[in-house]
Amino acid sequence: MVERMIVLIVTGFALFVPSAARLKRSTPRERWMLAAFAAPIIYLGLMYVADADWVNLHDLAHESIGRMARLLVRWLERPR
Amino acid sequence: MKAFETQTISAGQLGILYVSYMVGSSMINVPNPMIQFGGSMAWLSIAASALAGMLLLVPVLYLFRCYPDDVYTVCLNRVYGRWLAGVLTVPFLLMLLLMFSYIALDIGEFFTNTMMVETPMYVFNALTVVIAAYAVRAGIEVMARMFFPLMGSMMLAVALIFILAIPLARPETLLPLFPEGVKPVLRAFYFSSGFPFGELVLFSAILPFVRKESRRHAGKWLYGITALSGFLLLAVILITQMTLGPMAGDRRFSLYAVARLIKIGDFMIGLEAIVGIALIAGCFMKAAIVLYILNYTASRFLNLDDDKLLLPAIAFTAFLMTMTMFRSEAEFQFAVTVVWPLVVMIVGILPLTLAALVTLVKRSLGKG
Repeated sequence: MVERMIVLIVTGFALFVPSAARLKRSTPRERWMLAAFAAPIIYLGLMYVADADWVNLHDLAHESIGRMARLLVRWLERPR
Repeated sequence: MKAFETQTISAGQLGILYVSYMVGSSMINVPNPMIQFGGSMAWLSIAASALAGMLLLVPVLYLFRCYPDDVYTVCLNRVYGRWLAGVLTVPFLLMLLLMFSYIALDIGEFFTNTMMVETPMYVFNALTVVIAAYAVRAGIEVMARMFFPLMGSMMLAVALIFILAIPLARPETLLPLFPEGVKPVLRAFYFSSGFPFGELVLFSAILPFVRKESRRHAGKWLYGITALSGFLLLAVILITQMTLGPMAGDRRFSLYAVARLIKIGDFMIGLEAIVGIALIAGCFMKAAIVLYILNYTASRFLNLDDDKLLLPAIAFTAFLMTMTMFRSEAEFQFAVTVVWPLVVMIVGILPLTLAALVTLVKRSLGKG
């Protein structure tokens, strides 16, 4: 868990620090937009640190379009 | 550093970006599933997909001619109206986020499966995402210039494998023709028409960056490079199949597996290390282009003044997705080979093709 937290901090630092000056120049509306990303980041961050198997974006694709894709592929892979 | 909107590229630079996008990650990832699904007829599927890709360029270039300065979201706004365009753009952005995460994850899987098996995957995923974000921050002009030598080294590596593998090739492995009927060909076509040829519609977001005086050449470059990509993938599939034989469908990263077989005399072995790095540079280029499209489209969709403000947040979300999405490699393979092609068709190709049709009808009725 500690290792994962260090990975998160180091990667987040490498990504966000070069853009810190931009945040200072941004408008309140832009800051709200950026703050909206906190929700997926916190959710995925907790999921990663806790090694939890929660719902992810690809599950959304799997449960919607994935059902059709499975049917199509099953038909194509069925032997003659 | 210039803002994104003030940056422009020439038609030649568009070509460099497009070839990096089309063959970047497919060169190493496509041969194995294509041979697995299509067997000895995989070559026919890739040729048909390349033709379908060229057909797909018709609506892409038509929309570009009609709305040359509009980014993809603005183009959808004009065609469908604000609300419907919003409904179509959100899944488009999610698809790009998923795609960027898949490519970054793929780079990690390549290294941990082949060259650096004991290094934790987060090292590769984090480095890919951070470097791609820095490349995007530098802008499209810098990316186009930087990708020229990277693409050159990748092509050189592929040419080297191709030439050195010719003595190992056994053409009889390409026979018999249609051993299991037409369905395996269709299955491989389904995969390759989504990845990489269906993905070319996403590249329409880059087209408005081409300089006005170069725009009339853009179509020629795109058609030419789509054909070139088809030819390169066809060549790689053929050499992989002829070299590895029936094993080709079971070996992941099969072009790398071909490189491992190559040795010159008893003194030049281990060429696959150089080749592997060059091949994975292709994946990195595609990842950077996809992140660029994602960040730019999101900024325009949300109408932000600063195009680079969201970049670290998007990149960090994608990094976390690479670390949390899949429990096993089989799950990832299933997502890429079964679900992804249909996602591209429904979320990417369908709205764009319909937009081109609606524009055509509007214009012919004199309303456009």
